[in-house]
Amino acid sequence: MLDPDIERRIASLKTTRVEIGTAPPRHAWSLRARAAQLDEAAQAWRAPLPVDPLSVRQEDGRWAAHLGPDEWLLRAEDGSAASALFQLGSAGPISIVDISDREVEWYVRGDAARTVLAAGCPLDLDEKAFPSVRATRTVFGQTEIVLWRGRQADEWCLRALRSYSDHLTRHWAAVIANL
Amino acid sequence: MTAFSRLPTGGRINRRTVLRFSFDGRSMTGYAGDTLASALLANGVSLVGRSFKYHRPRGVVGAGVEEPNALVEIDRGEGRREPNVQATTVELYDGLVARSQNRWPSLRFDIGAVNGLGSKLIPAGFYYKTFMWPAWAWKKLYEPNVRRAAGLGRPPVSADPDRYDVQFSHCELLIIGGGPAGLAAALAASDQDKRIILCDEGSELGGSLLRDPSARIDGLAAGKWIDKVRSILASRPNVKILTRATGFRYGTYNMVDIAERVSDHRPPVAGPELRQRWHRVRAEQVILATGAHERPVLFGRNDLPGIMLASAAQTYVARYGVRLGRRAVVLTRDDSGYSAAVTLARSGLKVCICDLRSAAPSDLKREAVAIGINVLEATRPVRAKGKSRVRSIEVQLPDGTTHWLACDVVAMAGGWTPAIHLFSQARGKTRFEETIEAYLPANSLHGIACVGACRGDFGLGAALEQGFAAGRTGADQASTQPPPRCDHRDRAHDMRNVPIALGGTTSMAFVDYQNDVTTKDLRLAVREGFLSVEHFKRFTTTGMATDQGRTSNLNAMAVAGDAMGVTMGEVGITTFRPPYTPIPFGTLAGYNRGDTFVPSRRTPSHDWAVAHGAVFEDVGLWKRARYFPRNGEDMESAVRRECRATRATAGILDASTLGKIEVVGPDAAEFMNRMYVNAWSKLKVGSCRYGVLLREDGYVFDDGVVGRIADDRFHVTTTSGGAANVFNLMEDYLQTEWPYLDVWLTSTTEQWAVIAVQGPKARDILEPLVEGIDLSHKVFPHMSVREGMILGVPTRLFRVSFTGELGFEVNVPSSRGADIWNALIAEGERHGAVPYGTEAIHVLRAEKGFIIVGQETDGTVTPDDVGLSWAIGKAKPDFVGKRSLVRPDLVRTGRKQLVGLRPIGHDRVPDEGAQLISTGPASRPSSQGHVTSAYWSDAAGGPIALALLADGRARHGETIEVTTLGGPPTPWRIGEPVFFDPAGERVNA
Repeated sequence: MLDPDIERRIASLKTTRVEIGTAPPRHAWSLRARAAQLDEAAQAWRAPLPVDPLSVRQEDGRWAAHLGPDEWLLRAEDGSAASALFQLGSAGPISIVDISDREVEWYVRGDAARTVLAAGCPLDLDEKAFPSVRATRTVFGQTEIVLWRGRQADEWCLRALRSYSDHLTRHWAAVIANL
Repeated sequence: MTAFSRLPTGGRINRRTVLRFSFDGRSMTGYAGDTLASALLANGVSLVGRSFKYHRPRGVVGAGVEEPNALVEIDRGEGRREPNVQATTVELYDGLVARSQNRWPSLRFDIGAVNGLGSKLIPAGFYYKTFMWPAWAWKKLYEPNVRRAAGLGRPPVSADPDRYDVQFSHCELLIIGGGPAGLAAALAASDQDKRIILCDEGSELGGSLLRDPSARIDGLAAGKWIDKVRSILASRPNVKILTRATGFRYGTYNMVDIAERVSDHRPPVAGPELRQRWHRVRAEQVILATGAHERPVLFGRNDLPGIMLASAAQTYVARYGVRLGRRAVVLTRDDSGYSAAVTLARSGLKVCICDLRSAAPSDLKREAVAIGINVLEATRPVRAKGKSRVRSIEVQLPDGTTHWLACDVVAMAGGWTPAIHLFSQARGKTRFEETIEAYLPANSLHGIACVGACRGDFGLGAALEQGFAAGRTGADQASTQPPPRCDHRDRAHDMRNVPIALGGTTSMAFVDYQNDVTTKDLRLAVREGFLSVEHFKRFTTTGMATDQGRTSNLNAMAVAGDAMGVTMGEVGITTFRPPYTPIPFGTLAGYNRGDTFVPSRRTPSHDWAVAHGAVFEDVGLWKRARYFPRNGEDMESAVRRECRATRATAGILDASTLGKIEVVGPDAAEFMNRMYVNAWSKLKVGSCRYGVLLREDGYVFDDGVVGRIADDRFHVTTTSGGAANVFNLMEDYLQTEWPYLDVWLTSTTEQWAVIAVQGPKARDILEPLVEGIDLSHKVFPHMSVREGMILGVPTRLFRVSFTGELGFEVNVPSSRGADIWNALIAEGERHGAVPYGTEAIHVLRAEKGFIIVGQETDGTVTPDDVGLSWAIGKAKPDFVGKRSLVRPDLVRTGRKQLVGLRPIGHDRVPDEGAQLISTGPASRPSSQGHVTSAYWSDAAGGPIALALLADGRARHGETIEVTTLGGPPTPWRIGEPVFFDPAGERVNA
């Protein structure tokens, strides 16, 4: 839940060319593990963990992105999806931390979605450079984000620290005014 | 006046669209396609400004960004008045309002021009040599007057209403410059699978072709060829064409910044509009087709209006259809003056060429003579004459005789300076090329190609050929496109042995028009010993104006070299710094302005706090409630009330900004042992400990309460401001020193909302809301942590206190923070609890002598200095900073130590930072320490202060004086840094 005045601003982030809003909350965890623990961890997660750097694997409502050499962002609608990982963690060298509320998830969609993101994100968002299996930590303006592609061709998803929500909506509003 | 007007035909202007504009209040008209400069010239305005130092009358010299003189103020209304704009780069629009600068009372009659009469008194370095004495005169006389005279143009005074965009772009090929070379490159590259950005600073593509309608490419006139190429490029979806877009900075790894002028060329609209867009382009390959700028010729009074660059004269005739005057003298040091001369002659002017070379090329001479141009060979200009416009020019013939030639236009073809600015910014090296008297790219850089005039090949054929070849580089597909060809043959350039007319001995030949630097100034600088180019540049300010010496740098080197007796190439070149052309601050600010200047981070209770009238303060990027005034309270009364209520019943604080790091893994305790001074191995699950973190130098870096959630899981809290630094320090050690430890760090600062409930009634407030946690003192003692639920929301409940009262910190997932805050406030109100802000925290903790890192510490304070030796795990083999703690300076006597101060016979709260001094008769006052925190404390019944005092712990009971601003020092008694509940019983309620 965000402040009512942020919610009001979000409502204005919809034009014929782009629509920005918060996505329904997902449970999210930060998984840290060494390569040796990967199979065990994937078993506990009951879905594959991506091995290629900055790639996403998704199965049975369990979404995992390989964000760093030993770091995965896990997302699921089911809050108990990571329970087995917590059990595994108390027995072995992995770290699993609930970060569901740390960030807010946003979507940016529409034919101007890429233009809106390019107003703050220095990455090449072209299909070739940023394919649908890609997820990465990057920035939008002064806000650190994790960015990946959504289900639709012109849809992007991102997680940003909750306390930056006010700033992000202001930044987006300013960008949309310039479209 | 009628002599200067519009030619009946020709040019790329649209004569059907008449535009009205005003200059210094005078209404005039021009055509669509005009620049302000071309429109002024077409209206017979040759005097457009006064020079910076001598207030000399100045006219238009160039036709683009090389313009040093024609700087004007463009007024687009409130907040949109911009000074020092080059009239040559301003596109005319209907209703444009322009004014001249640096003149008073008027452009024609300017009082400041007396500077020119006294120019002998204002030599180079004038400001360094004068105004030195008497000392009193600086403040009262010199500085105010220098300030009044300094600068050019009036700065805008109101906020800019317009909007600016930033776009990060990526491409395989970026082509900078849309002249023949750039167009050929784009043509060659764009039939491949490559993203291409082609940018040009002008209003349309074409570059030098726009002033040369006689040029023919692939059998088409230049204008037609440009149109054809543009339509081909526009039809290719992989090509993005940016006009009015200046590549102004070349960063590392082909990161090029481009400023696109989106609406500057249109009449202003009422509301805010998108003015400029900053393209930040990352390109795999860059082709620099940036062209070259022409240089003036040096002779006496070469700054009179009517004297301009030959290329500019040609542009005004051919592109804008301007009739520049009646009689023109073209001074040329290379072949390019002939082309300008022919264009001028065909536009109806009587033209005389003075070729400084010993002999003119016979074919050019023949062609010129054939259309009635008088060609004088081996002829040098001496000086010009005229008041506000050139009337005649004195030239010296080969036989030594001088003659005055009547003229109202002088076109100078002094040679060409390749625009290597971007190449140089890209860390390219340059070399001096004698045949063109200019610096050229000397090495090849990865992913950068220079083509055409910017690499010293000035011919059209070379531009097309090199551009096309560069565009094909790396082509992975065969192309059926033939390279474009032009009909005429490029001419060789050889400027060796062409005299540089250095002007007469008594008159001033201007080198840098914008900064009024003359040949005499440069010679003086050399005489005074400024032999390095970097030195005489700064001493004379040559090349340091906003045009960055585009037209002047090489001439300055020629003159300085002549004075030193060395060649131009030996003088050296100064560094090119971005931006290439002036860029509005608004463009550079982009979205970082107004309410998006920096992020303001909000806590979960933000909305509630706003609704309840909180006064906020910035803590780092966070907005935190400072205090909650009621019924018009001022800060002092609000804070005193919040403190009293907290101690009497309870206070509730949003502490969500506390940094939090989850340290997890089998080696978590070992890692904590190595980072913090404390011992962690024996800390039981469910217990907390106050941790102190040092830097390697042994000084206090951060502190915070750490709870052990499981054997392998610590919930670490840090200060609000230090969270990121602590995380980085920990990550640094983990990755570089102890990569073998099985432990990981996760920032959870924003996972948890933290609500502190502090005060005797804290337990009563929580009791009805918390499930699954026994809150009794016996089961849940001070400094412990439990997991359970609060109102159905999972919580990590800490029993900790930063107030000295019975206290809890409720951690809940931050999306529920606002709900739980509201519930706790509602429940708290039933017990008389109040919300309190950051100001009350400071008072409450100071009453207990709890330090704040950054307040009691300043990066030079050890744990012992602030009484925290007890926290150090003495038996531990090592921790960050341990070895430094035994450095001699850190264990010596006389170090400043934390003490508490109480007033003696007064109730004045001292200033934080006030000095502690002894004022006994025996010694002069000298500082023995300083106040770190000071507040009014109702709990202590008066002012309290924490201070760092030399040997403070041994001086309890003594008195000390504390300095005040603007008054006598006040007496204070030194004591324990604890002012309330010294036994610490209240936390154990």
